[in-house]
Amino acid sequence: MDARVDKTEAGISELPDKANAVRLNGVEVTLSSRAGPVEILKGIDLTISNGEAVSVVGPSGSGKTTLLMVIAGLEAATGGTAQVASHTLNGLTEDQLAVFRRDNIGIVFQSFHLIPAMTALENVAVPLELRGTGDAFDLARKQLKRVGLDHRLDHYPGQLSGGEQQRVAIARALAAGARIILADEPTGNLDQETGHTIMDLLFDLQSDGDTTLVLVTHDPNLAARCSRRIEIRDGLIHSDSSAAS
Amino acid sequence: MHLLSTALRLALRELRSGLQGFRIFLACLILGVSAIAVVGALSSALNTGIANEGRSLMGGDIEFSTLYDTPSSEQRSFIAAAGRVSKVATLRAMAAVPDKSSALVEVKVVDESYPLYGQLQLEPDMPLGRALRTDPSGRAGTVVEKTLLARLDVKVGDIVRVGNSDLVINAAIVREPDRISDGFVLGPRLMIATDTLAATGLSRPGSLINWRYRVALPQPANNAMVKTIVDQAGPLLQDQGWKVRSRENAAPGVRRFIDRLTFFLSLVGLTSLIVGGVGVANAVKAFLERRTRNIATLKCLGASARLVFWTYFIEVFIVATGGIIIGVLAGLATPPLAGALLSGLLPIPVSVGIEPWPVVRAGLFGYLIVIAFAVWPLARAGRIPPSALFRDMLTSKIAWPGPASWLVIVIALACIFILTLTAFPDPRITYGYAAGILASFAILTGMARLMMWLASRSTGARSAVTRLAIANLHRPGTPTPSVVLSLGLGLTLFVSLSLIDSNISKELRDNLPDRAPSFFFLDVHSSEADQFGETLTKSGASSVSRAPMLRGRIVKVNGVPAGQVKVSADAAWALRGDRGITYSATAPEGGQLTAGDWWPPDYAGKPLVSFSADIAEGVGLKIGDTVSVNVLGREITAEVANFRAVDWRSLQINFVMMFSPNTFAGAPHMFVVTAQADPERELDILKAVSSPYPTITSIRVRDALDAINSLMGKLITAIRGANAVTVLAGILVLGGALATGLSGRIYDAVVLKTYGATRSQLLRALVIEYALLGLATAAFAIIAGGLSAWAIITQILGLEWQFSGLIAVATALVALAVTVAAGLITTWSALRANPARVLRVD
Repeated sequence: MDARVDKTEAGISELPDKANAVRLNGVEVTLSSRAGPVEILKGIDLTISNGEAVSVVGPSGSGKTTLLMVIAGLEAATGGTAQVASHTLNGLTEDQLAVFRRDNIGIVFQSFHLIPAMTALENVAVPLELRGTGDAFDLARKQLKRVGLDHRLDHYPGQLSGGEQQRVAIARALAAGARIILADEPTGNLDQETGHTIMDLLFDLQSDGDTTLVLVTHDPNLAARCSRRIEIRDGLIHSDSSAAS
Repeated sequence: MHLLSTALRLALRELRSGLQGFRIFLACLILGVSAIAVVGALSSALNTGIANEGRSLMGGDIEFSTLYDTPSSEQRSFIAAAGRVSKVATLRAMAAVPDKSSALVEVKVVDESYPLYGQLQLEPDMPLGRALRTDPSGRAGTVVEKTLLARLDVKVGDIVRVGNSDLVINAAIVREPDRISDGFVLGPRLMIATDTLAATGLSRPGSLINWRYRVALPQPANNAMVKTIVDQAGPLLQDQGWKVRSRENAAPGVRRFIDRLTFFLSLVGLTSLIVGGVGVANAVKAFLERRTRNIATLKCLGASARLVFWTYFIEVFIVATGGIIIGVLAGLATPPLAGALLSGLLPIPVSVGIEPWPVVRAGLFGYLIVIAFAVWPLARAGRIPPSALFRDMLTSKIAWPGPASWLVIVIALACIFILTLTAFPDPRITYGYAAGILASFAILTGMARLMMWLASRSTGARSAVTRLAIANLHRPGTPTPSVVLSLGLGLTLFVSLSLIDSNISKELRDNLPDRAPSFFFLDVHSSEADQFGETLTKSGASSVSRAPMLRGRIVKVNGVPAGQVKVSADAAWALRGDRGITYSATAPEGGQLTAGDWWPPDYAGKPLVSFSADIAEGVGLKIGDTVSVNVLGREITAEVANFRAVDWRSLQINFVMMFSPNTFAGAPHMFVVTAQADPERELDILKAVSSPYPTITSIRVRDALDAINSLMGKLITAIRGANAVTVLAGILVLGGALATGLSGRIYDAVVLKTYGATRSQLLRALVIEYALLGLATAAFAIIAGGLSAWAIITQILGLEWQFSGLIAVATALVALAVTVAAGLITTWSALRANPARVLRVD
């Protein structure tokens, strides 16, 4: 039995727009709650080109993480259209979205989100295994070496420091050759020095592979390292530095 | 004291957050404790019922019985002096409607005093004396059970022929107070008066008739008085071949049946509680894992390991008490409920009083199981380091509990063992059971570890899904040990009981066609034996064979009274009561001599006896030893000349003892005749012999085996039903073990989905993981259950063993279905979890 689920099996078709990594038109996200519907994103129009490094900033609760979730296909837009890596995400099933992420997206979370019962090597190999890559563990080993963790391959997440865990998460995000890296406050749980090291690593890896980076952060210094800065307020894009420039 | 009061305060504070996490814990305890309490209370209620009603169930305070109605004047006056006497005889005979139908009946011959205790109910209602009296035309009356009316297709007022007499059925028996004291019965009851017996011609020298003298002692007669008379009767009656029974042992057969049933049910009840113990341990462990932060915080604030231990011990104890009370209440409610539901269904009175000991014992079992299984995780919780607040518990090192915890666990296990000794009649069974449970625990735990070790080294799987499934088997926090242990014990018992059942059923069923005769004919007089054989052959019977038969009981072995002879359990029956004995000039066909020589055909020396080899070994006999038997009231001592191999399962005419013919020269006796017939000819043969030979009793082997099978069937159904409780306990524990890791599984599934896993991939991984667990557990259950069933079938029951592939396959399928279904039901939510929600919360 092969774990591979190819795109035709998953029913995904690519769009001809190869220039843009992300294209959101009037994206809205409204969640229901006991107190009534809560509008989180109120109509986002955003285009991100391939290879761009974009920071998303804004106050807590403004909708930054939700925007990232929509791009990742983890949250469905309740209005508008979302095209990511040449795929229209609207209407895709959960499994089609999983295959889409597997082939295109790498995510780095603030709280790492490693699987605690898997070793560092296994955590990195998982996306490759799910793709059916034959040499998943060799590739995972290489990725861990790139992030300087080749001496921690068989350690469980609980046996690693916060910085090491985040490096594993970055290796995992890049392992399957993702075209878009989504990072949600990747240094939020780390001290300043470790945070710097992690971000250097992330930017180096991104520029090496001509990968698109979307970085959600509260840190103005980090945001400044990106070529473009988008500020979200109250579910809307308040400013877009590349647009302004 | 300060420590305990602080612990109590903290425990009560903890309990305010409710019983969440204790559901499986409570379910396991309630199920196990109620199973033991209900079985114990029911068995106790039935036994008390029999004891309370003993004298009416037996028809007297004391019964003296003999096969030969020839009491000496001394014996007669002893019995008469004891109290009011009723003389009853029981025998088997044929009741026939000439040229129409016939049926085997259990005849009871009663005098005017019958019944001494209890009420006989007839329909239409009339005094028994009137129903049985002989009418002016000389025709005697009889009363019969309704089943006989249906079997012969007759009604009250019709005539049936019994022996040489035509009897008028004057009433049907609705209730016979002493019915169950007869033990195993082959046919419906037919009752006649003492005078009528002589006219039927059924009472001839050598006929198989049990004469019972029942005595009602002057009232009030306490048990001590009964015992005194029983003791006095020893040398005068018991030692002379009489059987003496008191009202306390009114229905030994039924009591044995209840005891056996109680034993099996207690066995499965206890096993389900022990399986539940695994659930208790899992639940306490999971509960404490959720409390890790609380515990670490308490430790940071200065709480000692002892305080933490006592806080959570008290909390667990309080919750356990709730579960145990529910189980105990179920036990207390059983006797009145059983009294209401079973009255009329069972021929046994059910005592509706409260039976304290069985339910107290069940409650004690409950507490001991909690202590044995919960102390370990509780003691480990006490040793959680304060640093756990800052580290992942998967990798935090917790020190092992100290010797005090070990000691408590060992004491609790020892108490369980001692309490089990009171639940099972034979201590050897408790030893075997305890050894079996310990071995199963050790092997199952070892097997789980081996599985995890193999999984951790398995790199061969090409598919990621299979690799994921195999990896799940060995990762930290895996439920593999709990699942294998919980399901393994229940399934092992299931396999064991199923294989015992299939082997016994097979023995009774399959060995019948080629070896067994179709009929046994009893009380065939020597004068009619030749002619009877011819009639059988003419009417289509084959392989007609006969043997002289007398009744006798072994009274001494090498001069030592039979009661004092040390004898193995499987040979004890040969020394208990009267046995059929025979004589023969020649060795039986096919019977192989295993030691000694057969006597010459014209042998005329001192009496010699040939003994069946297996019984001789059980009794400890050697060639040249002497055996004294009481036959027709006369004691005969014979020398053991040889041993024979006897296949008791062949259902051929077999005897423990065969004497040289000169031993019984001149003694009146009957023959027993066997014959084979095609099943479709059996009824014609019965018809052909019933009219010309009314005094000969025909036993159709098929009917007798049906009666035995139906009794066995009831026993096995009850045991299977109870075994379902064990499997249910296993499933509960399994569900609990899987649910313990649910939040972790949801998290894993979400992260995997985030990195591209589809639901079908996750589902396949789960199915493979659970199927591997189920199949490995089934393999153990088939091997361990098979071994224990083999030991019971071949070593204890002495039957031929055959492994049933069907049961093995069924077990594997059950294990597979249960683990996969329980696994998927508990982890379904993991597949459906919305990644965004979970990732945001974390």
